Amino acid sequence: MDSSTHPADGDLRALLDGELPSAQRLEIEQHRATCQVCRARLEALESASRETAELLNLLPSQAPKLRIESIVSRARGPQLRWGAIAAGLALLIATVAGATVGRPYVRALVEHIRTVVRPAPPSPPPPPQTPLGQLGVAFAPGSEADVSFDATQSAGTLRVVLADTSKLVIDPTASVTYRVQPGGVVVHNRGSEASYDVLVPRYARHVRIRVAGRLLFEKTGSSITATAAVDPTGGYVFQLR
Amino acid sequence: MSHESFDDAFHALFAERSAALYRYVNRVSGDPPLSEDIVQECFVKLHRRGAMPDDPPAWLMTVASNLLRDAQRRVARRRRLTQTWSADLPLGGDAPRADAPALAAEQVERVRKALDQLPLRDRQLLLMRHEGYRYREIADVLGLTPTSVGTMLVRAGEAFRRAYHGLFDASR
Repeated sequence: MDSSTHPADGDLRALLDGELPSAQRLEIEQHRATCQVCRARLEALESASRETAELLNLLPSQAPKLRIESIVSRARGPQLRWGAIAAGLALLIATVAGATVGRPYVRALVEHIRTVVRPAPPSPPPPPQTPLGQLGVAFAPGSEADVSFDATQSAGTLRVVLADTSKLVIDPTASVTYRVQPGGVVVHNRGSEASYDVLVPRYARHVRIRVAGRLLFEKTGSSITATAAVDPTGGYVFQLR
Repeated sequence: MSHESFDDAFHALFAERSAALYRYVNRVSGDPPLSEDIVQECFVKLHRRGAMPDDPPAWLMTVASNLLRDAQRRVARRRRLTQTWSADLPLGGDAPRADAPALAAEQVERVRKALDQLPLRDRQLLLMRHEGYRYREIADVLGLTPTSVGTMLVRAGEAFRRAYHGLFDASR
């Protein structure tokens, strides 16, 4: 580096941070010793860096007490669907028994387990849905709004949060189909394993959320009835199983 | 690594890094519940991995960075969906304490808003450096070359201070 070529700001910053390779550091320091411009620039960068650090230090620094036990427990939790495996084994055993013995109650049991393992599709063909297979939907809830999920799921949660929005938002982790109709929306979630955040406008007058016909959440004015307690983050979390 | 030694290392890493990781994620996102979820998810993923990575703090930071990016996409999608979501509405964030002096609370709020004006990568860059990460580690996590980190830090710092002073001037 000759005396007329000034190092770039990024290199000066790296010098201040002690991040330059030794050869480059030596070169810049030799230049700085004879260059008033670079000395001034270094001082300016150092001052700017200090101001940034002081401002960032104003941000909250306290962490909540995180519990390692709950993390380990979650990590060790079943990742396989043991329920489905158990039901599958039961179906196999019952099918063999039914074929061998052929007793009516065994056949009835097989049919019952089949409905659990492989639910029958809804009998009428599904009506045209708009829009199809999209991530999320939002609509103005009007005086009353019903959000109805078709079915329970083998996995996934439904988290309902009151929000300062004018629209009711359904935000899933995977595409599902919706049918928006007067007075609400039907979520066709059969076979899905998505989780959903539902943002309910704080000022919505009357909102009901059902899963497979079961009422889980109802907001009437400021009064809320839910089958789950509010969690520490202010949401109501329901298992979709 | 045996099961016991992994568990010991995991507990030690959690004790050593969880609070700092939370502080970093919370400062980047401004959303405490999200930050708690992300930190927990990072350690759940590490535990399920069953072995310590070569550089555990950098590994945690990379996972946190990916989760932050996913979360930002979700927030952006929600904004598109609602379209009425005011840019001024906080998406989370620590409410100023009732007993905090009003001026200090305003200053914290301005810092938060100034940071939120930066792209996610610039926020991460500034805050990783603020947490003491070296250029090489920052470059690995954010997919940069180490030699570009200094320049990008200068630019991100300038953008941050410009945004902060702009908000300060606007409030006077």
